[in-house]
Amino acid sequence: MTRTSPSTEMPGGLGPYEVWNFGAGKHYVFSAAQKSSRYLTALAELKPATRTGPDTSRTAADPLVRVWLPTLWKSDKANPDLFEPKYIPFILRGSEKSQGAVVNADKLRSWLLDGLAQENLQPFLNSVDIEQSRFRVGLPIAEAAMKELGTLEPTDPKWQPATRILERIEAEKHNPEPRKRVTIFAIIDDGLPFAHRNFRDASGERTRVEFCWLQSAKADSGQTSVLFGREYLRAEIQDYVARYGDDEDVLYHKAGATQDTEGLASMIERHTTHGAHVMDLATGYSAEREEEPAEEIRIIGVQLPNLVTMDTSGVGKDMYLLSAFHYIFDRADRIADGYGIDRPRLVINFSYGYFGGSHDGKLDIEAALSELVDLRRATRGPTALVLPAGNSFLDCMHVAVPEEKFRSGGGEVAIRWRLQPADRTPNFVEIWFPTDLNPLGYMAEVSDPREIPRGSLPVGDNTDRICTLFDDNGNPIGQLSVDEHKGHCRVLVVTAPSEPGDENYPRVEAGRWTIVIRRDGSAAPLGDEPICCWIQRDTDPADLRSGARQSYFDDLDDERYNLDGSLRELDTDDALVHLFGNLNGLATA
Amino acid sequence: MSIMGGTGGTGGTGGTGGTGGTGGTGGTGGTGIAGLGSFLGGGADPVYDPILVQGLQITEQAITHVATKLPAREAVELDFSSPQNLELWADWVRASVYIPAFLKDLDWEISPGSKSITMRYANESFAELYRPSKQTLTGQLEFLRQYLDQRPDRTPEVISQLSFPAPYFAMVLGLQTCNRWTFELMSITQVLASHVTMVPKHHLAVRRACHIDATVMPIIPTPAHGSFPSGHSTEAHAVATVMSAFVERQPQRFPDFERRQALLHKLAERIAVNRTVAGVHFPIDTWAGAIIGRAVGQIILAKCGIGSRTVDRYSYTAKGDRDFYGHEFWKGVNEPFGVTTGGDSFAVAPSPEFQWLWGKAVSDAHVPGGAA
Repeated sequence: MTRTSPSTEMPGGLGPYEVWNFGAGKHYVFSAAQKSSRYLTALAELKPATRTGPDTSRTAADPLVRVWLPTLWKSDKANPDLFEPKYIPFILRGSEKSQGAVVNADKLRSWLLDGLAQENLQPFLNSVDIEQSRFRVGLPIAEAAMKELGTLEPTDPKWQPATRILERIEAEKHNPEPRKRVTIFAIIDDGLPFAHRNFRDASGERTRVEFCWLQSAKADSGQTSVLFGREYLRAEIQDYVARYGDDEDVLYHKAGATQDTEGLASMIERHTTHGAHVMDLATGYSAEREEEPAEEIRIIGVQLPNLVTMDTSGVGKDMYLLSAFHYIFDRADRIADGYGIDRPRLVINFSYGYFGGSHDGKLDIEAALSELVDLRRATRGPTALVLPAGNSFLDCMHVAVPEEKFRSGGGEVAIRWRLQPADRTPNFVEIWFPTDLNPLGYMAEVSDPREIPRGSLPVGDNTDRICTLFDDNGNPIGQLSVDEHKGHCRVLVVTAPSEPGDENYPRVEAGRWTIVIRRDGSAAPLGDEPICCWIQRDTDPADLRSGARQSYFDDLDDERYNLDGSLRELDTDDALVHLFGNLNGLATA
Repeated sequence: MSIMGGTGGTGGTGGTGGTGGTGGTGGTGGTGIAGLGSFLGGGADPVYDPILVQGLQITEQAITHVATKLPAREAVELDFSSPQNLELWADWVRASVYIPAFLKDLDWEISPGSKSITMRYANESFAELYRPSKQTLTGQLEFLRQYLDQRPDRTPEVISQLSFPAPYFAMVLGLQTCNRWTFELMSITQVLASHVTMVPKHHLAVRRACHIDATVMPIIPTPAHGSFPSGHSTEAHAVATVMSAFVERQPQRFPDFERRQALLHKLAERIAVNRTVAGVHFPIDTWAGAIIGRAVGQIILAKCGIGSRTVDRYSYTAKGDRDFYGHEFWKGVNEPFGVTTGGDSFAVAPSPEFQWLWGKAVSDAHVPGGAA
C-alpha cells in the first residue's frame, strides 16, 4: 500500500536541506564523529529590522544553547563591533547531540533563535530582525576539534612580519624600476603540505606560508586564535622545518597536523593530495623547474574538514567555507599591515563547489562570498577568486525544460532520474523555475522505478511546502519540497540511499525514478527561460569510503556517442539533458 | 559455477635432473587467483617417471635380502568405519566421502503443472521454487541495466570470483595456510551447494539474460547452465551460513564474531550481486540461490552436529520488479520479495564424517599453544 503524506509548511528561516538533514535524513548524513557532536555550524542571513538598536524581544529559552563566532573579518578596524555583511557564520552548541532523538527542524530553529538572542552577540545584530533571519545549517564540528572559548570571538594571532621580506620591500623602494610586490595567495583545499620545500623561499630555509588553518585538526587547548581546529603561524612552521624539515612525515606528525578528528585517516599522510597539487600549481616554487624565486608570494592555507566532501547535499560546507574566507581576509589584512602594503592584492583559490544551486549568483553561500569579495575590493584592495568549473562537465547532470516540451507533451514533462544501486548516500535534485514566471498551476510529482507515485506538490502557491516520500511500508525514504529562494522558485527532491550504511534504516529502490512537471490550463507558459534542473554531487573523489554513487538524468533522447564511437561533446537537439550548463554552482555570480 | 574449474591440474612430474636425480613429484597445479585450492585434486598420487621406477626396482633387489631373515610381525588393523581414518585419506578422497554422505539424502520432486521443483532432504522439503515467467524475466532486465553502471568499479571482483572466491572469505575470517581444515569445511560446503543447486537449475531451465536481451552483453563467459538459481549465490550463502555458526562458536578465535557474521552476510551478497553486474544473473536468481544456499548451510551444520541446528523451509515465487538485498534475505520470510514459509523447520541427523571435519576445523591452529 502506498502512503503519501500531506504537505506541511517549511519551518521559518530554514530550508529543505535542513529539514532533511535534521529530520528523516539524519541517519544517512552525519559521520560517527559528527553524530556525537553538539557543535553545529551555521550561517545566518540577517534581515534588517524596522527598529534601531539590539533586538531585546527574544530571550534565550534554553540556557544550554551557546553561540561562538569564528574569526570574522572587519573592514573597519577602528570599529570592531561594526559587522557589515548580511551573512554571518557561527557555531551553535545545542542542548543535545546533533543526531539526538529530539532534534528536528523545529528544534533546530528554536536553538538558532536562542543562539542569536545570546547577549554578547547583540552588538553584531544591531538593526537586525532575528525572527526573520534565514539559516543554513551545515555539518557539525567534531567535539575534539572545537574549543569552547571564554570569549565570543577568537583572539588575535601572535604574528610578526618576516624580517627578510621587510628588508626586500625596503630595498625595492630604492629600485628605479620596482617590480617585486607582495601578493597574498590563499588556498582552500584538503591535505595542504604547508611545510613542503616548494612553499619556502629560494634558500629552502624560510617558509612563505604566513598562516595555515586546519579546520578539523585536533584543537590545541592553549591556542585561542581560532575557534576550531588548529592554526600554524609562519614562525611555528619555520621552527618545525628547522627541526624536522628533512622528513615531512615526521614534521606533520610532530606538528599535530595528522591528528584527525573525523574518524578518517589523515589526508596529509597520503602519497598525493588534491591540496598539494593545487597549492603547488598556484604558489609553488621549485629550482628544478627553473622558476623565478617567489619570495613575495605570501601564502595563507585553509584546510576544510574532509567530511565536507562526503556530504552529498553540499550545504554541509557552507559555514566552513564562509569562515575560511573571513579568516583569509583577516589574516591578509595582518600581512598587509605587517609589511606595510597599500591596497594588498589577494588571490583565493578554492576547490569546492556545488553541482546544484540557482546558478544566478544568489545562492546563499555564493551571495555571502560575493558580498565579502565586493566589500574587500571596495575597502582594501584587489581581490581575485579562482574557482573550479566543476567536475561534471559533459555529464548527464543538467536538464533544461523549454516551453516547447510542455506544448509537445500535452502540458507535462517527465524527467528520468537514475539512482544507483549500492549507493550509501542520499541523492538530491534541484529544479529551478524561471524568475520571469509565476508558476501557479504547475505541479511536481515523483514516482519510483515501479512507477508508484511517492509524492506530489503544487509549485506556485507562495507557500514553502514540504512532504515526505514513503516506501511501501510507510517508512520515510525521501522528501519533496517547494520553496522560494530569493525570487526563484525551487523544487527539491531528496532520496535516501539505496544501501544505507546501517541497513536497518529505510532505503530507496535504485533505478529510473521519474519527476513529472505538470501544468493545468490556467498556468502561464514559460518565457525564454527554461526550467533548469541540477543533480547535486554524489561522488567520492578523495576515496573517503563514503559509498557515494552518482545519480544522473537518463534521457534516451540524449545521444552520448558519435557514430564513430567517440564520446559526443555537444548537446543533442531536442534532448532534455544538456551537457553544457554543469558549471559549478558557486561560480555563477 | 564450475566445480573443477578452480582446481587446476596435477602439475608436471618435474625434471629428471642429473643421472642420480629422482625428479620431483610435481605440484598440484595452478589454482588461479581464486578457487578450491588443492582440495579436490589434493593428495593425488604422484606419477613416477621411468627412471625413478627403475631405480626403485634395482634398490629393492639390492637390499631386500637383509630383511627376509628377520621375523615378520602382525600389522595393526585400522578401526572399522571410523571417521578418524579420514585423516589418512588424500584430500580428494575425503571429498569423495563427504559428497555421497551428503547427497544420499537429497531428493526432489518436479511439478510440471506449476513448473516448480520441491527440493527435499531426508524426505523433508526445504525449498520450493517456481519457474519465473517470461514477463518476470523481462521485468528483471531493468536491474541488469542498473548494475551495468557498476562494471567499471567491480570488474576486478567479477574476474577474480569466476570460481569459488576463497580468498574473499579468507580475508574476512583472517585465515592462514595453517588453517587447512577450515578451508576444507568451506570448500566442501561450496562443492555441495553447487551440486544441490544444479538440480533446480537443470529442471527449471531458465534462460540467461543475454539470451533474452541482446544489450545485456556479459563481460565474462556465459555459464552453460540455467540462470535460476544462481550458483554463486547458493555457494556464497551456504558458506556464509556455515561460517557464521563457526565463528559464533569459537569466542576465543573470533571474539568479534558479530562483526565477522555481518561481513560474511555482506560478502555473500556482494559476490552474488557481482554476477548481476557481470551480466550473467538476474536478482531473482540470487534470491533463489540464497534460499538454497542457506538450506545447504543449515543441513551441513546439522550434519556437523552443531547444537540443535535445524533446517528452514521456504517457498519462493520470483518477483520481477524486485532487486536482491542481503538485508531483506536474512529476514527469512519476506512476502513482498516472494519468500513465504514452507512450514516448520526440521531436524537432520548428524553424520560422523561431517562431525569429524567440524572438529578438525575447530582445532585449526589460531593462537600459540593451540586450539579453541
